[in-house]
Amino acid sequence: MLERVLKLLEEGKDVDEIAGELNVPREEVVGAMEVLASMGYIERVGAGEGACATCPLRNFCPGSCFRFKGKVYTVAEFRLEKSSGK
Amino acid sequence: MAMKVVALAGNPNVGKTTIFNALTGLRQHVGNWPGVTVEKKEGVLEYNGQKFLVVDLPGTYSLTAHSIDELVARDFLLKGSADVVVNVVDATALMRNLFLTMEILEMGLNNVIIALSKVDLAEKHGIEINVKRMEEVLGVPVVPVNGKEGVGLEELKEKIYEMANGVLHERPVVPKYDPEVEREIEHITGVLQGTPLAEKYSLRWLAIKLLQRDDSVIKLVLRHLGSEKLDEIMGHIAEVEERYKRAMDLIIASQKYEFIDNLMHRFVRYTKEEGESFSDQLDSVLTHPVYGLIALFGVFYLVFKFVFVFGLPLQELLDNAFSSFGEWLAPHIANEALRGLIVDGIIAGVGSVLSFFPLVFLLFLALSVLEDVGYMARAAVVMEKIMRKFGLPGKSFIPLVLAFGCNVPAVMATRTLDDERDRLVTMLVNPLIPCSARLSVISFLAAAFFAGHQALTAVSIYATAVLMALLVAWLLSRFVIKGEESPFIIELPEYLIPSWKTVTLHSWERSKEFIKKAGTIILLGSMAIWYLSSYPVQMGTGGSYAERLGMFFEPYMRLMGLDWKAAVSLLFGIIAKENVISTYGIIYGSEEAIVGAMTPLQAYVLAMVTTLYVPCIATIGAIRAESNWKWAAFTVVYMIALASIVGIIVWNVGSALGY
Ligand SMILES: Nc1nc2c(ncn2[C@@H]2O[C@H](COP(=O)(O)OP(=O)(O)O)[C@@H](O)[C@H]2O)c(=O)[nH]1
Ligand SMILES: [Mg+2]
Repeated sequence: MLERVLKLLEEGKDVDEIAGELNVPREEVVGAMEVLASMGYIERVGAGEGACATCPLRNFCPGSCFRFKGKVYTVAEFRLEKSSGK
Repeated sequence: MAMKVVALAGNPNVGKTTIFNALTGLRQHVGNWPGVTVEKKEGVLEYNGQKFLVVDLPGTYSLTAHSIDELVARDFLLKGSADVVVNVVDATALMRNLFLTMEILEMGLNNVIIALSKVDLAEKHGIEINVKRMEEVLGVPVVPVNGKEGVGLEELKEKIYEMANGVLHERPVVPKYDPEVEREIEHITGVLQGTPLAEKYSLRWLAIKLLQRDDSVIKLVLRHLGSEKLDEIMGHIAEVEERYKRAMDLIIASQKYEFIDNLMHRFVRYTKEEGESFSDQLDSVLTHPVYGLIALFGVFYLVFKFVFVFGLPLQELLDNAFSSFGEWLAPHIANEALRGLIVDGIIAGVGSVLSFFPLVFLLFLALSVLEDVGYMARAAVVMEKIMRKFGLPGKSFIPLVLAFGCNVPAVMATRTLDDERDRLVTMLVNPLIPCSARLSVISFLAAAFFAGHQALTAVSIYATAVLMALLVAWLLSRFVIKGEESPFIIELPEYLIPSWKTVTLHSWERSKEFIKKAGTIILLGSMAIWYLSSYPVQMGTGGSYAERLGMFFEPYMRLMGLDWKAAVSLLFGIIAKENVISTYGIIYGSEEAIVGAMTPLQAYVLAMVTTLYVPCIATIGAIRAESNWKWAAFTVVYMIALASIVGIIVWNVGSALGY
C-alpha cells in the first residue's frame, strides 16, 4: 500500500482522493505519508517558519509571518527525475 | 542491584510522554542523549516495591535511521538496553503505528508490550479493536490505556513488572514478505550464519536492513566480516534490485504495510459512520475551487467587516487623541521650526499611522483565529488549485501566502522552489500581493471615504491585486518555459476551537512590530516629509521642495485623476507603504481636510495604485539579493506600468459612470 500511496501522490492526487481510491481511512493515508517522509520519498515543505526567522527585516517588520497548521509535502526530487526520465 | 530499564517507543504524538508522566510522576530527569542534541527523558517507576528506570525514546515513524531521532531510538533498542519495551500505539492510526511495531519486532525483541493509547478517540472515530484477538495475532501483550485519565495504567505496570521479571513470555509475530524477497533474506542470512554478528543481532533483521541498503548496518557488517564478504552480499543485492527495477527499501516497506493490513483485518473493524462527517462535508465545500473561492471572499469580507466595525471607533479615538496632544503641545514649544517638526511633522505623520493600530491588531486577531480554527489551510488549498490553473507551481503558494504579511520574507521563501524559472515568476509577482503595510493605507482610505462600505471596498482592492498577481504569473509563465510540475500535498489539520491565550498573544506579537516600525521608519519618513514641505518656503506657495517634486509628476498623475500630493505620497511610499498615510497627514494636517479635498473615486484610485505600484525598498532589495538587479528593475517597471493602467482605467470608467 505504501508504494501505491506514493504512486498516487506522484500523480498529484490529494489525501482524500487516495483514501477513496485505496478504501482506507484518511488518517492511514496521512500515516503512510509520514512513513514515506521518514524514508525520504516525500519531503515536508516548511510553510514559512524558516523565511521569517531568517528575514533581515524581522526586527522591525510590520508583523506577520503566517502560521500555517496543515503539513505540506512534495514528492522528493529524485523520484520526479526518475519518473520523467523514463 | 541495578534498576531494570523500561523504554517507551512509538510514533510522535501518540501519548508517550503522557504515559511516561503517569508512570513516573514527578521523579523525572531531562538530559540529552550522548553526543546529540536529542532530549532524553528518564524517570523512576516503583511497582510492587521494585524500582524501574523509565526512558522516553524519541518519537519516530520507522527505524530506518534516516534521522538522528530514529538512530537514537534504534540504537537503544538494538543494544538490548531495555529490559522491557513499551511500544505506545495510537489506536486512531493503527497501520502507521504498527509499522513501527513491526520494525521493532523484526529486530528480534521478545520483551515488547503494546500500550494501546487514545482508545477513547478511536471509539469516537468508529474504530473497533478486539484487544484479545490483537494480542493473539501480534503475539505480544496489549494493554488499552488512556494516559490522560489514568485508565489501564495499573495493568500496564503489572505487565511491565511481569515482563521484567521473566514471568511473562511472548512469541511475537514478525513480518513476512513475498517469496522472492524471503529467498533473498534467507540467502543473506546464510552468509551471515556462524559469524560473530549472529550472537548479537537477529540475522533476519540484519539481512533485511542490508537489502534496504542501510548505511549503519553496512558499516557494521564491514567491521565484523571485512570487505570481501560484504562485497559478495552487496553484489547479490545489486542483482536483486536489477531484477526488481525498484529500490528494495520501498518494496520491503510496502510489503510490510501489506502484511500489517492483513493482520489488522483479524482484529479491527471500521464501523460505518453514517455518511460523511460534518468536518468532511465542510472540507469539500471549503476546498472546492468554486464554492471554496466564494467562501474565501465571504470569510474575508466578514474579517474586514469585523475589523472596521470594532476598529474604526478606536482609530478615531486615537486619531483625535494625537491631534489634541499636538494642539496642547504646540504652545509649549517656543522655537518655530522645532514646533513645526514635532507637531506638524512627527505627531501628524506618525500619529496618523499609529492610529491604525487597532485595525492592524484586530486583523491579526481575526487571522490568528482563522489559522487556529484550521481555516487558513483550507483557504490555501483553494488558492493552490487556482494558482495551478494560472501556471504557478503548487509550491509557490507558500511565498504568496506569506506575502499578505510582508513581501520580504515571502521573496526569500521562494528558495523552497527548486526550479529556477518557477522561482523567478513567484518572486516577481510576489509584490503584487498586498502586504499588511498596504492594509493600513487601504483601510485609511476605505474608512475615510466609504463609510458603511469599508469592508467591501477593501475586499475589492485585495481581490483585484490577487487577480493581477495571477494574470501576471500567467503571462510570465507563458513566456518562460515551465519546469516539471511537482505534486504538492496539503494535509488538512482538524478543526479546532482556538485558545484565546495563544491567539491574543500571537496577534500582539505581530502588531507590536507595527508600533516599532512607526517609531523608526515612519518617524524618519515623517521628519523628511515635513522638511520637504516646509523648506525652502512653506507649502502652499508652490515653492516648497515637496510641491516642486510633486508638480513634476502631476501631469502624469492627472491621467488617473490624482494630483501632486498623491505623487509625493507615493514617492515616500516606496520607502514604506505606510508613508502614504503619513504624507497625507502632514500635507493636509487632518483627516477632514483630506476628505474635503478628494472624491471617493479619487480615493479608490489612490488605494488601488498604492497597492499595485512598485514594491517598497526592502522588497526591491530582497528581489535583487535573491536574483539580480535587472529582475529587480524589471519588477519596478512592470508594476509602475500595471498600476498606471489599472489607475487610468478605474478613473476613466468611474468618471464615465458618474462617480
Ligand atoms: N484523547 C486522548 N488523548 C491523548 C491520550 N494520550 C495522549 N493524548 C493527547 O495526545 C497528545 C500527544 O501526547 P504526548 O504524550 O505529548 O505524545 P508523545 O509525542 O508521544 O509524547 C496530547 O495532546 C495528549 O493530551 C489518550 O489516551 N486519549
Ligand atoms: Mg513526547
